Amino acid sequence: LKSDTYFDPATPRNVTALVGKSAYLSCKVRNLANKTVSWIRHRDIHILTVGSYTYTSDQRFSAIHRREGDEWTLHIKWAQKRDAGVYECQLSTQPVRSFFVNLNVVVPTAEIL
Amino acid sequence: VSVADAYQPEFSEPIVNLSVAVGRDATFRCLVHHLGGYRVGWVKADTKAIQAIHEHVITHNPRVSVSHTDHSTWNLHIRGMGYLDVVVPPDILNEESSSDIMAPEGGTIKLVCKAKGYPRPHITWKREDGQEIIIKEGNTMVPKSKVITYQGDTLKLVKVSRSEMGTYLCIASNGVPPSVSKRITLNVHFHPVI
Repeated sequence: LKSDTYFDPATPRNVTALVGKSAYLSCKVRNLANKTVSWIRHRDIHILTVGSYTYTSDQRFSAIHRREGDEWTLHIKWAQKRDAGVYECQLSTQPVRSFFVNLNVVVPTAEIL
Repeated sequence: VSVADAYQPEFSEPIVNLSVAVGRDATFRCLVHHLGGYRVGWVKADTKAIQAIHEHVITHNPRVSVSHTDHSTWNLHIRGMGYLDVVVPPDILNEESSSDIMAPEGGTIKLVCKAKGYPRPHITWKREDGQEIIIKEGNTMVPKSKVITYQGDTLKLVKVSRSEMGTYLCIASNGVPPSVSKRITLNVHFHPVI
């Protein structure tokens, strides 16, 4: 019986990160087999990572792979406001399967009452 | 990624749009200057599907491959199918088109010709003997017109006369060779005359 590749539906689709801190976008895949997991930034269709290879020359980006549960996490160091937007976790199936994650980047504020 | 290179890579020519017939191979060429340690990646723009990076094919589409002749010329090959415009030459659908037809003089008939293909073929009607086709509306108030060719799937011949008897050609074309045609013979029968 051939099992199909799919995204873990419990993976968060909306992530909020703090300016200057690391942002982590998770992508959990089931039955990945020999397919590759890539991360793409939608704003400019920029390929960020393919498997554990970082394609972008922006060195703040990297993919972290946890073998248990086939989780590929996009790590963005020193998140900036301009990093906010939609990111796509793409499986190299034919046709491709995509999981979209929205990243918000916020400035922490504190008020003295 | 090499940071040591002083030059940033640049595209030396835009990527040319391709138009190929179904079943033919397509090759996109990406020409770059000063690639250095950077890598060429291919993404299908509409689905954002990553095709290949450097020498590695990422997609599981078995028809996709990459090659490079030197460090400046990088190719994406798609075997057996087009990409932007998959064009298909026209083909007349015989079962949906008219065959030879017999009509009484004064009757009204419709000659139909349907074709498939991409882009959608258009149909042109001609008389095989080069005579003009008479176009009349059902309403007698509208004057008739005579044309050498008529465009459209359906050629309506109103109140046919014996002079309209003969072989009609429907030609399906869509710019992708070859165009195809079908011969439809119209016989008009009339009362004996002395």
